[in-house]
Amino acid sequence: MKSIPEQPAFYKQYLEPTEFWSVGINKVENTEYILLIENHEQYEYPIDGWYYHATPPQAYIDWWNSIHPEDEEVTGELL
Amino acid sequence: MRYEQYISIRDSGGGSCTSREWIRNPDWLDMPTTVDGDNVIYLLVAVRDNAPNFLSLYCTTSSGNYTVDLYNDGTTISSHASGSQANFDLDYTKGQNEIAKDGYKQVMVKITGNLTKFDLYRIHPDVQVGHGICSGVLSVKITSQTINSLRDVLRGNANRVFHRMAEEFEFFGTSNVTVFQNSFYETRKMGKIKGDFSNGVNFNSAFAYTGDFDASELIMPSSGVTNFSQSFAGSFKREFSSPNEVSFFSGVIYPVTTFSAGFVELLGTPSNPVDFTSLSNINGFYQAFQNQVRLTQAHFVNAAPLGMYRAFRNDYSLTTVTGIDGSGVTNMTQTFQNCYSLSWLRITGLTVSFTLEDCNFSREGLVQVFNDLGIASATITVTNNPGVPNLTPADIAIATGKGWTVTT
Repeated sequence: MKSIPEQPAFYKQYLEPTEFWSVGINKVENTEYILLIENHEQYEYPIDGWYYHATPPQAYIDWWNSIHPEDEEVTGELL
Repeated sequence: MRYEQYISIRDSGGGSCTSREWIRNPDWLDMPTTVDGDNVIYLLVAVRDNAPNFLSLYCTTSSGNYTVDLYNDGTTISSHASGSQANFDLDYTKGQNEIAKDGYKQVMVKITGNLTKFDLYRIHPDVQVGHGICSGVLSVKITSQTINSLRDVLRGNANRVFHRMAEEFEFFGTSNVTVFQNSFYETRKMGKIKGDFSNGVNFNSAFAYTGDFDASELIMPSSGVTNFSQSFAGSFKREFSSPNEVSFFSGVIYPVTTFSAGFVELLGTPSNPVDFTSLSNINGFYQAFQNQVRLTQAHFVNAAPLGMYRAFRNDYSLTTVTGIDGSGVTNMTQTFQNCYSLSWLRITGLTVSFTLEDCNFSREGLVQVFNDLGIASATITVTNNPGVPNLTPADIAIATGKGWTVTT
């Protein structure tokens, strides 16, 4: 089951149209830049909203918890 | 066909069986013939020897009492005020056509009056609340143009009664029923539901926890279904693939949590995609197909949801999703979370960030997703898919050229 990343990663928070966090654990790229996790010390943050974090930032954890209120187990059993 | 043959086919799980069509027990009594304009309900009920055979029912009428002809032979007729519950203990000795293997005889009950509502969601006064008793109702046939609500008609609940032997329901002729809330809730052996439900607006939990029933002769609304919440929650219905069944949802405005924790395996086929023409609520496919651990394919047409929050979350077996117009989607949070088998996705025009991490996309599958993206300043995450190492710079450029950021 998907869980909060344990390894260092790049994080970007979107607030519109709804709050959403994108996470890049290896590589982030578009036409303007490429971010590689092994080169994270070479960059000056933020880059287009991206930050590097060795562990997930609290705002990300708060968002994660808000969308996993009970983290229910899925068994296929009848309710 | 003999009963033994029927049982053999009914219980076969595969082998030479090429059809999952429900087969009515050939030893059951035929449901009586009616004509459109009649106001009559028939119940086929199993009765057992040396046991209570409780039956409780409830009707409302527009005028006058309602009448119950308990054995459909004129020998035991009773009259009941509108809005009152009628309670019976059916006489085994009046039963017909014993089915020895299942240990019951059959009784046909006839209900008449200026009926406006009918249900069997009633506990007999001799049964304790919480008992969980199961009725002997096998089949229900309703012919009435004046009944406007079938709420709870066969609903089961431990505090009242279950109808777990019920396999057949028919609404014959013109129907003006608008409310189907909880109508077939917990009818786990339901094999066929037939009739014109096209005036329905409220289907809240209508088919929750039902059996794998045949809906090929069930006519659903083409518009105006305002409540479809939990309609197939826990249902054992496996497929929506026949030409009629794939239009089952065309009138649904907002299928919120429709399939919560059910057992559907196939939603449409490439040639018979399920139609969501009326989808218009801002929340769109909000948790609509979540927790469908047996769902493998979902093919849509005329499906333009405005939101897809958790739409397919925890659908571990889901391989294919096609036919979604994503250009109006504003929320893609957890849409495909834990869809470990997903390998082919056709959502066109998406403009909001989303993730396909931990899916099963090949390079070709990912390229198709990139080709379908809309123009947007957003991020697509494809981490941990088998095809990621094979993506070329030209492949990535398909997405980045539209303004997207790609995380791999």
